[in-house]
Amino acid sequence: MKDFVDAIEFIFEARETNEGVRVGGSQFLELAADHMWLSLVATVIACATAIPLGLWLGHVGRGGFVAINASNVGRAVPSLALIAFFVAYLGVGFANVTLALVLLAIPPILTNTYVGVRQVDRDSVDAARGMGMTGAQTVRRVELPLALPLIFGGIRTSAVNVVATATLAPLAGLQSLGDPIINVSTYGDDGRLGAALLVAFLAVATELSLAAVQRASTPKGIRRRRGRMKQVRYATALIAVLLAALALAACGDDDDDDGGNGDGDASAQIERNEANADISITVGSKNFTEQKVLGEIYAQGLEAAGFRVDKELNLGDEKTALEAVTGGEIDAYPEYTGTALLSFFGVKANEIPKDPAVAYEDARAGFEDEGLVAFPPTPFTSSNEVGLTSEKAEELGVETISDLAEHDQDLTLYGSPECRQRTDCLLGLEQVYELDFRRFVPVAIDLRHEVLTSGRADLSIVFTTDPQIQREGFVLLEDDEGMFPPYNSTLVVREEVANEAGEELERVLSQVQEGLTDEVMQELNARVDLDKKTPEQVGREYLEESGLL
Amino acid sequence: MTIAQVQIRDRSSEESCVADNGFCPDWIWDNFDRYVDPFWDHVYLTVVAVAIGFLISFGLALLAYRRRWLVAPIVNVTGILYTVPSLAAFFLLLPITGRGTTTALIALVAYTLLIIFRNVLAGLDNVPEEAKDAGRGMGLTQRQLLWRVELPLAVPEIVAGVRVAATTTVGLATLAFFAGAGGLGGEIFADINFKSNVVTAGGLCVLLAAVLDLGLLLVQRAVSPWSRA
Repeated sequence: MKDFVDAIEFIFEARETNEGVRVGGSQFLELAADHMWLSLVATVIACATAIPLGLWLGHVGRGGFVAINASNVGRAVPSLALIAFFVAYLGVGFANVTLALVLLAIPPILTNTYVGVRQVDRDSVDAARGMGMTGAQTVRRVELPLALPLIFGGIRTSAVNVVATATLAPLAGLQSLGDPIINVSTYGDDGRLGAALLVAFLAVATELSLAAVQRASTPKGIRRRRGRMKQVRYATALIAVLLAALALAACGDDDDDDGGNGDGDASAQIERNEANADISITVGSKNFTEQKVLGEIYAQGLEAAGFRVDKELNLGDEKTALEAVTGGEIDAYPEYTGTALLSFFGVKANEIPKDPAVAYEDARAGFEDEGLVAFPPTPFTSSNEVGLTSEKAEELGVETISDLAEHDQDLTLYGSPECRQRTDCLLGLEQVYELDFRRFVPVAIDLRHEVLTSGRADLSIVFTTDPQIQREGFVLLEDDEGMFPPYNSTLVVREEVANEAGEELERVLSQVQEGLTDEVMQELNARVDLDKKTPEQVGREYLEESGLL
Repeated sequence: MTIAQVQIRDRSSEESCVADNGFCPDWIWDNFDRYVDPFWDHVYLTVVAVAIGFLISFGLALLAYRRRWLVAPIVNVTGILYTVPSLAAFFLLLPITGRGTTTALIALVAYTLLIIFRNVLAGLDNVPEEAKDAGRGMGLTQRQLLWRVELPLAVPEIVAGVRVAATTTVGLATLAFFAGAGGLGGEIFADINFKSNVVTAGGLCVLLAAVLDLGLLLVQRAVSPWSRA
C-alpha cells in the first residue's frame, strides 16, 4: 500500500526531480486540466455531429443499418490503432488528436440517438402530427425529449472512453495525464501511479456526473421506478476491486521460452565454450531501436559462445529496465553511462563528467552499489544533439548551439516530452546556453525527424546515432559548451551472473562491442528504422558481417 | 584481433516505398513474420480474458437472478471496473501484481464483467412467462427450468454480451504491452510513424475482432437453432 500512499502524495505535493524541475502537485493539475479540456472539446464536437445526424436519421427512419453498426465497427478499432493511424497519416498536433477522439466518440452517440428516436412510441408521434406539429417541431418537442435518456447514455459511454483514450495523447505530441504514465523517467513510479489514479478518478467522476445528468434529463413522465441501486458506497466497491486483484495475483507469472541454439561456425570468431551451457542469461533492453539492436547483438553473441540465452527485449524505459535487472527478472541490459548517472545516481546534468572514461567509471561505481556489474562501454556514444535541416542551418547561419542566441526568439524546438524537464535537453539549453525559444513542443520520441522534414519544427532534439540524420542531410549543431554528457553504452549485469560467467562474458563482450562505432551503430539503426528490418535480423547481420558468427 | 567492418550504405538518395513511408504491400508480405507471435499473444489475451470474464459474470448473474438484492451491488462494482481506463488499471495493478500477462489479464477480465453480467441477466429476465409456465407445467424443478428453458432462451442475449466483450477486449489488449504482456499494440507502438506497420498491426486487430464476432455469432446459431427462423 505504500506505493499508493506515495503516489497520492505525489498528486498533492510538488517535488523536484534530479534535474531540478518541479513535477507533481500543481503541475499535475495542469496536466489534468489539459486532459479534461481535450476530452471536453472532443466530446462536444462529437455531440454536435452525432446528435443532429442521429435525430434526422431516426426521424426519417432511414440509415438504420449504418447508425446501428457504427458502434459495432467503432468498437472493433482499437483506440491505440486509431491514434497511431492519425499520427502516421496526418502527423501530430491538437487538431489531429481531437479528430481521432471525435471519431472514437461519435459511434455510441449516433447509435443511441438513432435508437432513442426510433423507440419513441409511434402513437406519440402520430398524436403530435395530429396536433398540427411540423416535422421539426415533432423532433424538438416529442422525439428529442423522449430519446434524451438514451442520448445521454451514449454521451456517457463516449465521454468515459474519450477520457480514457486522452491518456494516449502524448504519443501524438499533446500533454495530458498520459505524460507521467508514458514518460516514467521524468516522473518516476510515484508519478506514474499517481497519474493512473487520477485518470481512473476522472473517468469515474465523468461517468457518475453524466449518469446524474442523464437521470435529471429523463422527462418525469417516463421516469421509471428503478431499484435504488445507485446508492451503494463506492468505497466498498474499490476495496472489492483491490481484493479481487490480490486474489488473482496469486496466479503467478508466465515464463518465456528459451532462445534455442546458435550454431557457431568453426572459423576464427566467437568461440563456443561448452562449459557456458550451464549458465543461463536473460538479456533485456529498453524499448527503442538502438537498445533492441544492442540486446540482440549481446544475446546472439552470448548464444554463440555457448551460453543459454533468453531475451526480454522492449522492457520499457530505464527505470523499468533497472527494476527488472535488480529484481532478477532479467540478468543484463545495455544502459548509457549518461542516462545512468543522470537518472539513477542523482548526478546533476551539468556535473556529469565530459570524459567518457570518467563517466563510465562513475556509472560503474553507482551500479556496484546496486549489486550490478557494468562491463566496459561501447566505442559509440549516443548523445542528444540539436538537429535542423541544412536549409535552415544555412538560412540562420548557425554552426554551434551558441550561434542560436541571435535567433532563439523566433525558433520552435521539438523534443520528447521529458526533454522539457531534463538538463541535458531543453532545461540545459535554457540554463547553460541561456536560450529562450519561442515555443517548445513535446512529441513522441519517434517523431523527432518527421517534425524537421515536415517543417513543423525549426529545431529538434535528435540522437547522434540516428540514421535519419545522414539520409535527410540534417545538420547537428556543435555543443560548444560541452553540455551534453557522454552516452556510451555499457552492459549492466547482475553480480551473481557476472561472478559466475565473468571472464567468458568479458571475452564475448569485448569481441562483440569492438566494431560498434558511431557510424556502425547509425547504420544498424538505419537497417531497422529505415529499411524496416527486425532488430533480430540486424543483430545477426552485424555479427555475421563482422565475421563474429 | 580486428573484426571486419560492417557495410555502410548511403541512403540519402534512395527512393523506395519503405524509405518514403508509404503503404508497402511488398514490405508487409516480407515482414509478416514479425506480427505472428504478437498476434497469437493478442488472441491469447483476448480469449482467456473473455473466457474468465464470462465464467465470473455468468456465475454472478445466476446468483443474482434469484436474489435480486445482489444486482445493485454487482452492477456498481463491475460498473466502476468498467469505467476505470484500462491503461490506468494496468499501472494501478503494477505495484500489486507486477509486470506481465497476469496483470494484463486482470484488467481485461475486469472490463468484461459488467457487459456480460448485464446481458446474461437481461436475457434471463426477457424469457417469456408463458415459456416458464409451460416448463413448470411439465413438472420441471427450478434448476431444470433454469438450465432447460430459461438459459437456452436467453442464449441470443448472452452471446450478444460476449460478442461486445470480445470486440472491446481486442481493442483494450492493444494496450497490454504497457503491462509487459505483448500483443499487437507493442508492434503499433514500436513504429508508430510507419504507415505499413500501423495499418498491418491495426488491421490485424480489426480482423481478429471481426473473426471473433463472427465465430461467436456462429456459436450462437449452433446452440440455439430455434432462433434462426
